[in-house]
Amino acid sequence: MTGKRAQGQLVAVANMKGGVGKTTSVVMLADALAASGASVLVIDLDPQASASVCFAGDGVLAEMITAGRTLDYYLGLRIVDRDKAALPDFIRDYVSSTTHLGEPLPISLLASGPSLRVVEREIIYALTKRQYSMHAIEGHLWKLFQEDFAPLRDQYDYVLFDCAPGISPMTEVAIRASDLVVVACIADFLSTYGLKAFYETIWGVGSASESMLAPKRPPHVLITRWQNTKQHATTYATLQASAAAEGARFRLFKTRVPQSAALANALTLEYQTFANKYRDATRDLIGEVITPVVAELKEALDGA
Amino acid sequence: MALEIDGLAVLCAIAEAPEAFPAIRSDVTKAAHALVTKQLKAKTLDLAGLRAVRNALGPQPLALIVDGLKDAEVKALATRLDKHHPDLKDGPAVAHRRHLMALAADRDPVAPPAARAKPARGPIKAPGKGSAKGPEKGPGKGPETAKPASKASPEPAPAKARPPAGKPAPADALASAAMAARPPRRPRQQE
Repeated sequence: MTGKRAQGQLVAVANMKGGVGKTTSVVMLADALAASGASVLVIDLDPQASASVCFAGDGVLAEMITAGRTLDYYLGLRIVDRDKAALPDFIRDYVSSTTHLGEPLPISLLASGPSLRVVEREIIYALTKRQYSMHAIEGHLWKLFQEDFAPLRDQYDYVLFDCAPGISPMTEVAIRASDLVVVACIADFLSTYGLKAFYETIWGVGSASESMLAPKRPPHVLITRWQNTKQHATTYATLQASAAAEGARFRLFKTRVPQSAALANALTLEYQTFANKYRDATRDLIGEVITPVVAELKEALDGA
Repeated sequence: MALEIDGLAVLCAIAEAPEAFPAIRSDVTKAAHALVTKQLKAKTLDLAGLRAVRNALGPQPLALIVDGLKDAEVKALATRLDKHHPDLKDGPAVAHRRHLMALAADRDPVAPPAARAKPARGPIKAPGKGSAKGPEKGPGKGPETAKPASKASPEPAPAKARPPAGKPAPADALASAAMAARPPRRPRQQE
């Protein structure tokens, strides 16, 4: 077990493109960090609620939605209705059914539900009605994030944001305010093309403003769904060369996350132990993938 | 002249000079897993054998390997080593793992019912149903029953298992309690 950090780290897992393995990466990282003894909070920023259902299961998530214990309900109260609400009250601790060495993984969840899409629209309408400019809306969300979300560092070693594809206003704030942005990306033409658009939107010239600062570090690209095909190899070689070039605009994880049935199964709730989730007769994802990825993540967060 | 390597000596040599074997680093972990797993699955493994494995490896490496066993394998081993335990047949997988680790440490298995029913003094009366009530529970001088090894964190929820392979899939692929759930109306929510 590692000692509790003085301040936790905020990590956003993002990409404008969908289907590139963001939620898979979040689940894998959360499980691995928690299994190594860290306390982990997962914040689901995606109205599809994929991370939420992966950790809580359909039934518990339904209870959370019905009880108004989700991110969308909280945002509706705080921003649209200007009511008082304490963010920690919306977090469910020990949500994972996965165990490690006989103990449940210390993973907490701020879940989302399908209403997040509607609430994000409500926020824009409500603030526009209050004569907020676009910059003022961004500034308002940024302030809310700093006041309510950033202090969660004091309670958790890691706060992982599972970002929605596309960039909603709240997702953009989380990306810009995080200590590290992990960009999940498949090494193929379309995903890499989407990476360029994502980079320009968040890190590109003129993308930051007074109300929304630039991220602290360049994006760290994590290759997901890796297959030993010619296209993947060629694309990966290009990414490697770009990341190694002088003045590189992004960093590249050395470890690649393979296309794997074991990893897809890990998103279901079938396995009870961390070891059984990620290791089977054919593949040891813990030794081959998860341990080195987590080591690289920590190295990146430590500023190496 | 030797006809075969001394496997143990070679493994010790690899462990003492890992820098000489960089290409097999990950294979060593796999092999170690496989070897200990095979020992744990051996039909001849008894409680003394399990404790010897724990003493040799240490508690954490053994726990990591037990975590990697299938739930059914852990249950089979725990019930084989503690045949008369009343709660093992129906308990959750995490309880089996904890119990197995406790047995490996120092917990004594539950004694057979007849032995436990034997009164401290006087002859045994005619056998009847009363003498086979099953193991005593709760604190006392008798053997321990399964208790969580640690209470630092809450009991894990039972795995919210999806239908295992072989069972028919749900009739409605779009059925989802969460996606059908609606949040409550906010106190100040506008129409």
